[in-house]
Amino acid sequence: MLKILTQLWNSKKKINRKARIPEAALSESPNLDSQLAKNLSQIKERFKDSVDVAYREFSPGFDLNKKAGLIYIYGLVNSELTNNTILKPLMFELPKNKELETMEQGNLLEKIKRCALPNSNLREAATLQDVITGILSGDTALLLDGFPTALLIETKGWETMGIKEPDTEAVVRGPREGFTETIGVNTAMLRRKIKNEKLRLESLNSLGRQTKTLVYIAYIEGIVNEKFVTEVKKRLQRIDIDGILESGYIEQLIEDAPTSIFPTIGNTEKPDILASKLLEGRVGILVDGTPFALTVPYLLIEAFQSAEDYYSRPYYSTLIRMIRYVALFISVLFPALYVSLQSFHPEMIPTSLLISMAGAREGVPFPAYIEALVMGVVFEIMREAGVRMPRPIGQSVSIVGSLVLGEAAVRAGFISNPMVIVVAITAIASFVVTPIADAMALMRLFFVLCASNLGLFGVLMGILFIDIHVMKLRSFGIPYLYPVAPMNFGELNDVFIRPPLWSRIFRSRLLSQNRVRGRSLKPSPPKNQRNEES
Amino acid sequence: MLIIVEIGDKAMLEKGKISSGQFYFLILTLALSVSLFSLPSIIISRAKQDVWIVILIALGIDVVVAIVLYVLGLRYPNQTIFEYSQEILGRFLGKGVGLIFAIFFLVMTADILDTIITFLSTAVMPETPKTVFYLVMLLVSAYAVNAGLEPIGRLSELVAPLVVICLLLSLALNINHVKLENLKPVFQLSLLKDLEYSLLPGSLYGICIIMGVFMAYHIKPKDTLKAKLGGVVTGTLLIIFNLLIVIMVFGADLGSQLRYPLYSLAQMIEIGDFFERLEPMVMFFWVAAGFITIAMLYYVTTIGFAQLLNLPDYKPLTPLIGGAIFILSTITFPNITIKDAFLKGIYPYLTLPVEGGLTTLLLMVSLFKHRKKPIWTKQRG
Repeated sequence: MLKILTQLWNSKKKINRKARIPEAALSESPNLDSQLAKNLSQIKERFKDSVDVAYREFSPGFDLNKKAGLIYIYGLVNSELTNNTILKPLMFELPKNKELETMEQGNLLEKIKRCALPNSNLREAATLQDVITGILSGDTALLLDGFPTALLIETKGWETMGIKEPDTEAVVRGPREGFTETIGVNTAMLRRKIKNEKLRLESLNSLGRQTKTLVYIAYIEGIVNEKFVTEVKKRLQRIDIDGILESGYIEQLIEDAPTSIFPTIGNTEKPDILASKLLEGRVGILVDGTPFALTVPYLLIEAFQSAEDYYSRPYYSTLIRMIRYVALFISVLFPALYVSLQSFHPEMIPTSLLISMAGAREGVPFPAYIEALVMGVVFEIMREAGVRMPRPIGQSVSIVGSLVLGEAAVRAGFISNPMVIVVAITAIASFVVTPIADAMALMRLFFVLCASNLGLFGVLMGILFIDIHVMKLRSFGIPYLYPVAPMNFGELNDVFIRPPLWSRIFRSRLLSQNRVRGRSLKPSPPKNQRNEES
Repeated sequence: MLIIVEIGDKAMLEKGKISSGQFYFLILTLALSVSLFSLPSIIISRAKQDVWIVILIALGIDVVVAIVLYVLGLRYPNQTIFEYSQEILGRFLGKGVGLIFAIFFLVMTADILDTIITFLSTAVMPETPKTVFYLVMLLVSAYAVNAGLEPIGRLSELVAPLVVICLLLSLALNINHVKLENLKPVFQLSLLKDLEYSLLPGSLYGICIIMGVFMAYHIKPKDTLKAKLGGVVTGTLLIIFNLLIVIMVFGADLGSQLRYPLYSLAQMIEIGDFFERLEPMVMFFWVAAGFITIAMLYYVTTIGFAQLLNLPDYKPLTPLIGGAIFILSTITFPNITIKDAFLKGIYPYLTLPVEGGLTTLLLMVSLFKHRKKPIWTKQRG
């Protein structure tokens, strides 16, 4: 048996190695030829019969002896730009340019580049592969007969979603714009938040064998801990996958603890949140094609901090932050505590409450833990249905959910009333701490199982197990529970309360070498400001 | 305090380090959880109103042991008690002494596990079979052991304050039940009796020779003594006050008949008409502290055997040691009476020679053999 398994394992490895070879061969692509016709036919050969590739042959400057070709992809380029910045100057304005006539034929390409293409972004490409990559990313390739180089002219202009307010991280106060699906727009949004030349946006080799997705990493030099940057780059370079369709792919391929239910990489959809993370010394990873940017390292306390905490005044924010911890506690432990009190420690419940609970449970056929598990699963079903279904059907599902499952099930005596209350409170509480909501749902079921077998002792053992697990986790070398465990008193001030901004002088020691954020003083009015008349 | 761990240091089995705070809380947890469960009833029934003298003498015993181990730890930096006993006594004899220490920790793990589980199954959940408790507790602590020393230290940092708050609450909220005259008479025992009775708490606190292992993983070994004494003193003071409150609330006679006096003390709490019967919460934190203690001892046992066998990694040993602990704790003590008799009659005389005797022997030989070595050397690397 073991032999077969090892053989299988080895054969799998071999397949992997074999599969790498053609990829390597493909990257050594031939240089361009100096004949236009040959180049065109080669490119056509590569694209075969793809209907969205456009080839336009023309003669620049009313000179039928000269031949040139444009290649681009419909929909990826802005045709107005192509017409106005490439075709029009080459065809009509070139003949009027006196200087051009005096120059020799050999310098034509250089001349065109310098004098005849009113486009700000222009590159030369020497190999076939470069030309094809350029075309695929929305550039227009200009090939001239007699020259073995092509000009890649930026004419990107495709239809996009536009900037809108994201659904996930809604705020009452604060910027409303969210990232878009286009990476160029996203970097611009980030740059607008941090007007500092030290904000580095580095491009890595495009990832994904087939999709060639653009991935940028963003950080602020002088604030970031260089170790994170090198580590992120190292991990990103290890990725070998056919396609990156969302930043989640990258998250799962570079995370520290792939076997844990806790996320060790954060994500955000909003430029202001990404900017604040970068200012704390984190590294951002932007991926083309998705509005979700990743931030590393990710600590558990970040799940309890929202951007709005810092935008509004500290007192209410502190209360809300406390409430988030309470919500976590309720959402994870409430059903389990209910089950263990109900079935194992009824003496802990005050007598009058116990009597009314017993009355409500009278005639219910299932033990409390079956009720809790069933209701937990039903709730997850309703939640999932609520996310996936088309909007117009939403109402009917909520009616069916609340009336049939809540009201009728209780009336019929299948489920007890207290259980419905418990599940409802749990459900609402689970939406308060959204970043780790899925881990919370799993933990909830786990704790109900613990409680159903061993009561409070089981819950305790479950908590200790999860505690040990969480304390073992690290995100890019930083302990996941920092600064709570290992305890760092100096940095605890931003964990349970939201400190006033003027008291947040330092960055976290582990995240950044450059620790001073700023030194604003506690605001106070000048002493003799009092109005004389009053 | 924390270090981003650099992988590659293969000489040490444990790559993590603990801070002074974690060291303090680990020792505090240990000191509390050995004295929360079985100690109070025995010591109250024996020493009555003189419990505080007895525990203070026990504290004295422990301080001496702590100083011995501190000096040893400074003379052999970055080495655990299993390693430096080999350096001191030579390979063969040293392994023998190391084995005694390892077996000592093994037996202590089984003993304390049994104490905690007996508490659970008598006071809290009498209907569940004990085996289930043993298995669950051991499985989770095996997970903790394999996670390493750092998570255990961090966990103690979170749990120990909660246990302390719990004990302080049961002090504060029972003030209304206190009858001061219950404290009389004082000094009713002879000094000899005091000494004799202090052997049991002394030997229980003596389990703190666990510091001989932890000191090797301490970031600042020079602060070890401070952290260790701080932990033990805090723990014993809390226990003394709680025992005195027990005597003041229940009286010495009733107090000595209670099986778990501190638990009964928590049962007395009532605030208003609503907050009463808080003892499951107390159970919660006590068992959490007990769990950390078991994880600690289990960890030390595993590390000890791994170092004696010169293994490159201790993790494969964890299930074996766990099985040994399970068997030992289930078969050694069939009932409470036998356990009490063992604790009163055999336990101190079995453990104190290891805790006090062997460690002092190690120090003497070390001072004699490595005479030229200064009392302590600077930490290498």
